[in-house]
Amino acid sequence: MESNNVSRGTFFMNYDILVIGGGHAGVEAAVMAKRLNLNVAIVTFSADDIGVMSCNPAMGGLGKGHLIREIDAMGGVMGLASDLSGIQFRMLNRTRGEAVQGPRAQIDRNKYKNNISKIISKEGIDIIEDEVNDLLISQTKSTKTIEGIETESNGKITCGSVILTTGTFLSGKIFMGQETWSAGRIGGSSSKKLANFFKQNNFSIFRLKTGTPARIRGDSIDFSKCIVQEGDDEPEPFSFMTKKLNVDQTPCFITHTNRRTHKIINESIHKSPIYNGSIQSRGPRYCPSIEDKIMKFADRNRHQIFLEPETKGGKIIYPNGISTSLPKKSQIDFLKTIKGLEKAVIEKFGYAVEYDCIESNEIKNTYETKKIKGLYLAGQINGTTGYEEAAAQGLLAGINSARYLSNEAEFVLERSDGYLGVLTSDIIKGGLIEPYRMFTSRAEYRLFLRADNADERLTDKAISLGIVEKSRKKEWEKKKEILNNSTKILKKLTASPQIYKKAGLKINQDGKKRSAYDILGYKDGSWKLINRIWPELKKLKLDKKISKQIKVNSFYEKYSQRYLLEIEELNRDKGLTINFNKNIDNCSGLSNEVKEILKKYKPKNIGEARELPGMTPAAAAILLKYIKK
Amino acid sequence: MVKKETIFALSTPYGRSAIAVIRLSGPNSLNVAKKLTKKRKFSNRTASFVTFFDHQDSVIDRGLIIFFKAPFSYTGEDMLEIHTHGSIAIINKMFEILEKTIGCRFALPGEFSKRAFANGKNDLIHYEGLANLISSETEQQRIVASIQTFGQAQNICKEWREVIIENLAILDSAIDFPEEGENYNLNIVLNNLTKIVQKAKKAVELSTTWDKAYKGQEVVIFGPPNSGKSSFFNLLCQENKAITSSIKGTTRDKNTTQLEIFGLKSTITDTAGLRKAKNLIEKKGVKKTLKILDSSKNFILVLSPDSFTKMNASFIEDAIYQIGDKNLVVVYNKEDLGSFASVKTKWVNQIPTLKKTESFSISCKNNKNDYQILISLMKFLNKNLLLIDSNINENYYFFEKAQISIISSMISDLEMCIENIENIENIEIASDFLSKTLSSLDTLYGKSNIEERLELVFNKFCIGK
Repeated sequence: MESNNVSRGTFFMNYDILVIGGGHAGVEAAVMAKRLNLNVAIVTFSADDIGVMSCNPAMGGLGKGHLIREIDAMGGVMGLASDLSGIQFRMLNRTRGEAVQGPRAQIDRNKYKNNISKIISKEGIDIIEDEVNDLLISQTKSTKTIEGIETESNGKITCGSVILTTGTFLSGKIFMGQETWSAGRIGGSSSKKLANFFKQNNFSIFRLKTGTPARIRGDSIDFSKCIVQEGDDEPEPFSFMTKKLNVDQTPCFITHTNRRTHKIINESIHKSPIYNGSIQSRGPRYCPSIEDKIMKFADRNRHQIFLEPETKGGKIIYPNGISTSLPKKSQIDFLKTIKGLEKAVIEKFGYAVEYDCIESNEIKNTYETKKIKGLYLAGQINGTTGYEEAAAQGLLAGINSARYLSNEAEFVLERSDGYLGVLTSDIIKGGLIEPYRMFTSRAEYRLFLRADNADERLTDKAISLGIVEKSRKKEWEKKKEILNNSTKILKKLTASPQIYKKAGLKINQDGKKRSAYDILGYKDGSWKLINRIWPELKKLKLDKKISKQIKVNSFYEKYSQRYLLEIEELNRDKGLTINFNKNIDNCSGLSNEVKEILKKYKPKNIGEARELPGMTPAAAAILLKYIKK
Repeated sequence: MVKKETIFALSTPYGRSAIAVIRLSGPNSLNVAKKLTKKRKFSNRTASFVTFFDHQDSVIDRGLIIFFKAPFSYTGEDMLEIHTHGSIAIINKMFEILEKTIGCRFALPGEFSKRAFANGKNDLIHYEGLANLISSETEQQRIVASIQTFGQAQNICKEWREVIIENLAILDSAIDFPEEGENYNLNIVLNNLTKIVQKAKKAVELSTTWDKAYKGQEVVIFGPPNSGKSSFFNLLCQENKAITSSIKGTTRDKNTTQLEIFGLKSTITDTAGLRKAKNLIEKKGVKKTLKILDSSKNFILVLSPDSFTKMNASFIEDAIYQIGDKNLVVVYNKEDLGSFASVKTKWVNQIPTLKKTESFSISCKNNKNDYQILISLMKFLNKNLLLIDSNINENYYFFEKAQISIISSMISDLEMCIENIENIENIEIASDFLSKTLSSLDTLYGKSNIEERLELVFNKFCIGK
């Protein structure tokens, strides 16, 4: 599509896709759509807001780190930008199995923003600085379709699709003690007008809450009183494309609250908007404010605080673990009771923010709204929290929005494909009771969905979609060939337990032949050992990364075998579509309750039916029999 | 006319179940009902909820009682059905009271049907329908019992499921939130799961025991030729099913019948006599018997004075060796023969293990109709051969095969989980096995919810940077 890039007057600006909001969801969405050769613009209050990390200065962790690796494997930009902006890299759970190791990094938030801006301009994405007042739709009898947006300064801008990534700005309201004002974050304004659009179009809306701690000036902290937390000796990057990290690992520090801190907070608890009833919405259970922690865990003497530098120089410190919405005076008082923070100077006070979300069962698994064609929602607006969760949704919404405009089939990842699939299928169910955050425990195929094999799972899919940079495609195809070839060779080489024993392996002398690949997956199996038996393997000349990868693959393959059966069964179920022309009422054996559930949710297939609340395995079996008839 | 005795028997399996039904047939039925319940009036064929008292007027149990006035009853006589709770103690107490009641005695196997036949209820007996009817009756009871016992098992499974969810939440917290400064005590997890494994193993073991009670146990009669195995077999079934003669080796094949001995179901098999075979047909029989010895678990060895030879004794000794530590009792038959006592000693001297084996002496020929001896034989078999461990206090076991198999796979997954927790590096593998056990249990209760687990995590641990 050609755009008429003529502003105002009789001509309207026109884009294929308008991404509203330049946060982490918006950025990935715009990049994906642009890579699919569409004309894309990001509409934001200020170009300076693009790529802003509005909460803690860190990326990744358990579940979240997995998401970044997957975003990266799909060609997204979060991993690369983090690698370029990180100041301390650490692999969480380093001593545990690879499946539950999560890459995490402290990020210089200024650098990150700059790196993202660079990427946006390199990709050729336009930026429109404006406030969106309304979304424009055309309406026929049965369908509403997005047509464009109405902006404050540029008037009407037409487009084929809108991806809305408004974060906490939809009717955002900030709380700090008794003070409240409308804003999405400190220093920003709030999108109240846009919130009206959703009310008018009968979207279910609910409110969520989140919070941040005060920011402290680095030079006012006595770090010598704190515990040092160093980065890894051998830092690992997020991106599969980063060959070597150029980072000088910066330390973080740990300190703790104490009884005096708790006493002050207890005494001023009535001034906290969460406890005096001003905030009714629910905040995340996994990210409680310090008020929550003290009220809920009254028996604890202390709570941990991570002092995280917001930038390389450490001018401003983010005290992770004490988010609060207490009045300024209480914030100053309780901070000063903390070891190392006795003379703390507050740069910005902590606050809580309450914002509108759209009930996430309003969207399909493509992130398009069910009510309006061409309108996609991604990020906190769907009730999630976190940079990584937002970016993941932006990426998938961007791909699908572009494919919608090109009349191509929707692209949906399954729970067995990756955390991206887990995230999607979890949130479209709706009924979130708190901001949704990714945990590895949400993934039933956790042993298979590892951060280390994200490229093996996803990059081929991304290549066929056409969203991957040339360099990545080349790199991955080279790696894939080596992986496949070596694995094939290793699987062909077999030996008896006696031979392995001779080579120094403790092994069951059951006479069963095992392949070199199997042995690599043993706890005591190593390349050194199999090289001893088959010296010709040295000729493979595998680098450290790939040899480790093969070992990890083999280790987990034993355990993830059962997944394959489950996945196969699931896929079979998905193939069995439920025809609602065939009257469900006639299906004998189903309780009326289950029939009502089926009529309400209209699952497309048995797989979806099984997931419905109130469905029992027995009911699913009866239904299966009925539709097979 | 001599007044008929009133007979009684347990109609439900002997063992722990939701209800136990004791049936009486005979003229004393109504008296027994009155005595047991202190009620004066009983409407015909109407169930009444009553309290049962013993002879000392203390309460035994509360339950249902139904009186059937002759001739409209199964046997055509006055009949009484007593429904108590299915506890072994209550059943035994009832037996004790009924035995002490004048004119009442234990029914012999098949006696109810015999009386029905005698009273012209042959339309029922003659048709195969009877067997079906009886089996469907017990099947019905089985289903009722199954639902009720399943209910108990369901509770314990639910309890296990909750413990598993809670401990899975701890494992997953340790994985997902390693940095929160929280103390995840995996030893507690280890303890909790080990306890479940122990309990579940016991429950599976119990289930197979109860299975025996419901399905019955196999009992094999064996011995040297002409020791009176078939006479003994016939005595047990109270009919001439096995052809008997004094010619050795008459029974060449096996003979099988189903019996209930005080509520304990059993399948009794008569076998060909064991000795060095003299001809081909006998050889075949002996070979078969030896094979049966391997596949069965309960044995009655029948010996008699006139079957004693050193050869036979050594053959029998081999057979006992083959049986190993499975259940064995000895019946010394032909007590009427003069040489009985002295040859009995010879048997015991020749086969030393017999000293330690419980035994019963009888003359099948003379005691055929001696009620007292028959009852004590039944009691002997019940006590020494068939009795299932009734001293188990756990109140859960599994009836359904599917359920047992789910619990068994739960056990093996839990064991894998425990093994992997012990190796801290493999915590994610441990969690994987634990969630697998959860999904096995989910097939019983429907899907568990991740939110359920997360709620536990966030209530237990202070998580959040």
